[in-house]
Amino acid sequence: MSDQRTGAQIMCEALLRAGVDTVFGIPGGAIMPFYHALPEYPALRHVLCRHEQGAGHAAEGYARASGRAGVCVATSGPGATNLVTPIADAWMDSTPLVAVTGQVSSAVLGTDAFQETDITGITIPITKHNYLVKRVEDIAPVFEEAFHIATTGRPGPVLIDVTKDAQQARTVPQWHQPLQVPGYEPSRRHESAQVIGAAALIAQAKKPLILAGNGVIWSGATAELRLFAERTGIPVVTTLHGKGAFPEDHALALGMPGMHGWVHVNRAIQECDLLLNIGGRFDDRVTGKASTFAPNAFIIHVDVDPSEIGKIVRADIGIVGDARAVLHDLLTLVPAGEHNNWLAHIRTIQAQHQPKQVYLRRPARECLMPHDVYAAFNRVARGRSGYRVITDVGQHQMWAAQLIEWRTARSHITSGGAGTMGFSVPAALGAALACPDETIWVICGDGGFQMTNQELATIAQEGINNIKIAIINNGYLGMVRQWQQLFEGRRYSGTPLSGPDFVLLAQAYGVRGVRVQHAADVETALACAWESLGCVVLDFRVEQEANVFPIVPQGKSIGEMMLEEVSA
Amino acid sequence: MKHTLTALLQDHPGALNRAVSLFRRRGYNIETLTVGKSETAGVSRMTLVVEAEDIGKVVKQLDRLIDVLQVEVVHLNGEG
Repeated sequence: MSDQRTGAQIMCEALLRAGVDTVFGIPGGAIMPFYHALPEYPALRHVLCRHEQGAGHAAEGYARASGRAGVCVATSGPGATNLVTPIADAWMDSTPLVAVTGQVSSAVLGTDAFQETDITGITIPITKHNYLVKRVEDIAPVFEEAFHIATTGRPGPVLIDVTKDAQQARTVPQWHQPLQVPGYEPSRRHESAQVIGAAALIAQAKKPLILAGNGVIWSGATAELRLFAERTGIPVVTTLHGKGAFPEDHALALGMPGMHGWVHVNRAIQECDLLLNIGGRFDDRVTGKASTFAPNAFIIHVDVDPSEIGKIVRADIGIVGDARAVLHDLLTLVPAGEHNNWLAHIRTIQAQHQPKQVYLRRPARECLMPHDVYAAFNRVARGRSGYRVITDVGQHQMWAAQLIEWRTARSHITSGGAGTMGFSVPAALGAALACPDETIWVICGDGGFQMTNQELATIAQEGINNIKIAIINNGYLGMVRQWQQLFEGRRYSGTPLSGPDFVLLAQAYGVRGVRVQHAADVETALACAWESLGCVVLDFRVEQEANVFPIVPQGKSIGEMMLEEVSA
Repeated sequence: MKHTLTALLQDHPGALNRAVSLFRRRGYNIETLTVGKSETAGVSRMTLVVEAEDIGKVVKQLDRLIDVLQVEVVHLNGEG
């Protein structure tokens, strides 16, 4: 019976057949059969993380950097529940993630057996789909279906929970059975009538804008977007996840909209007569008060997920389809044009509100401002390619989005929709393995760093040399502190944050650590870290009460921006 | 406003849970729920009455579920 395989062997073969080369995980009782089989498949690299949350974010980082599905593995019970945060993160940010969990044996399901948790029940609202597999015969078809669902249409997380007895049982796997998913049509083609209608509106618009989101990156439409913008002369705004979809050194690039968007971008949205949203979901951090968003505009919304059309902002034309295919068709329909007057008008607003002026103003005392780090990063990065920047969540993330010049797709990776602090270090681990020849920068805060820095041990154990970590260390949970300062009379409740000595901590993990306290030393520190072989942790001790501006207070229209510090 | 919905679901464990979860998520209380075999083997029909504000959005999210084959809002007399 040489064709027979254990369920665990079939799981490994299914991963290889799906093109997987790396899995991030932690073993435990219910997933032990899988781990027993794993050494028979040396083409599958297993990366032992220090916490399942780290394994999940690492798989996300791998997926976001490579464009392929990321895979994480955990045992039942706490192993599985520790994956909940990265699964929710992948759900919010449309990241193709396949989470494989072991489950207690089918005979004891539902009996509160040791380490039994109903992980399929728990993850129903945060997965694109999930499976409880109790029969060894189902493993091969379920894995094939899971990768299909995770990676097609709007990508997303899929969880496969496999009972221990199914992993141990034997069968002859049946590969390439026809997929049985009649309720799933990811490749549905867009309606040409709507694209023709959209093209006509675009041709007539006097003050049009393109809003480019994550969908442009996942559909691989950056070249089409650029051709379309250049053909029509329409300026381009990029969302947080759209960063890199359009080069920010391009004459038509305006920058980021929304809560921490530049004044000229938000004003342009409020003034435009046509807004073409390609692959964005009108997140509330983009729209502010949705009922007042782009009040004068015809709105054309292109999204591969029909449930996004009209969810937050009315769409005058909703096009359900792949961003690249839609842009390809639009390109053939729109006449060449220019919008120089409109662009000049936006640039005049930009000049009046020099976006970065608030960051150029220095406090009277001598101190390292966070913005010094980003300015130096831009200088050091100039002329270099082959690098990614992974950010965490908070002030440092918004400064990075605002101040770093983003040029290429997948160069900016962050936790957007879920806003998961602790994302960056493990995500960098995944990105570093997906792109071993590139330099993976982490920019994070001291709060987020302390949530998942145990993965430095994983980085050291795996001998990963291409991760450089810059901690913007201000001794606060800074974004919450900023809100408390601006909106709650400086009541700093629960936000002052002490930390260990990050230099010593890095050294304890076998990683080099460097503290930087003076503006004059920043550029050298960044350049040295970039040039040196090996992982480096840079601890930038920055001004504690620096703020992110502009800011649209929550619930307000994006027309109502606070531009800089007013007496709080 | 009260709505009556019918949906065709894959006759799989968990399919019903996924579908009704979308109402629970929004804090909507389901008044009536009937599920049974449909005329097609392997497909169940769910009929549900619910008080909901933005039923159109829930219907789209229902339709997005892999286990949901079709959703329809039934307009009865006196309903919009």
